[in-house]
Amino acid sequence: MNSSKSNLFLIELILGIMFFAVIAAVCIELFSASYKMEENSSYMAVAVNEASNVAEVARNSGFDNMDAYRDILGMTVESDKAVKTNEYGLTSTITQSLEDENTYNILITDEEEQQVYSLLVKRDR
Amino acid sequence: MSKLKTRHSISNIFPVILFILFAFCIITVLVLASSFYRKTVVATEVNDNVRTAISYIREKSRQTSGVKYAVTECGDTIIFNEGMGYGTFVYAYEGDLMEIFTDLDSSLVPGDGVRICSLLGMSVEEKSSDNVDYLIIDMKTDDENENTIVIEANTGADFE
Repeated sequence: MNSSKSNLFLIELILGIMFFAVIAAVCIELFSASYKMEENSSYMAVAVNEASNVAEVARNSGFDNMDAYRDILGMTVESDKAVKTNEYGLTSTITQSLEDENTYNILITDEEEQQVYSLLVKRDR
Repeated sequence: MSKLKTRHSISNIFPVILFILFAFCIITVLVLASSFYRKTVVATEVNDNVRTAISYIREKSRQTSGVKYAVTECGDTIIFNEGMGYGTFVYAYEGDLMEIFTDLDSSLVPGDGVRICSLLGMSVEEKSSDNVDYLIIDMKTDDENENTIVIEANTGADFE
């Protein structure tokens, strides 16, 4: 009788643990996904701010004034583009569009060179 | 008979051990979940403050006719010219980004400002290139991170 009770308890416990394990796995995954989403959102906020900073300098300095990108934002000026990597590992690049000389493309990429954010800015003619 | 007794003893202890293990797992999962939740809430709050501060300063600089930087009684202060001799003074004070709307010549009391959002600190630097002046605003949003905003400093004649 005693042994039968113990067995029942054991079966109940094993079923409980199995159920708990499944729920726990799902919960942890959901929490980690929400944390990852939050991290991406913070990353995106920084990327948008970086692009806005480049756009602000571009708009006020006549777009193709590479000295302004270097002096104000500390960007490295290469032949046809200005590049800067910030402390978050995001790289901002501004280049003139190949299709339209009055359009400039501000591209923010991460450490794996994947695009995080891009912004097209157009010069008033 | 004695063989049967031994089996009984083990089968009684095993569920108890399993139950203790089960309880330990529950506590571990709860601690992990609360840690994730706390981290997410803190990160959301910091992110929210960063975006509020950045949007506020950027929009204000576009909305007003002039922007300049000065060191006032409130420390590093960005002054937005609202016209008619009035201005909005924006500064960081005791962990918050604050603003005061008052006339441009009056002296400021830091505690009199209206709180906008949390901000640990703000420092402003002026830079210019080809006769265009910029304000480089470094905002310390938490212990680790800083965000920089660049806005055009348009002091113009309105501030005179």
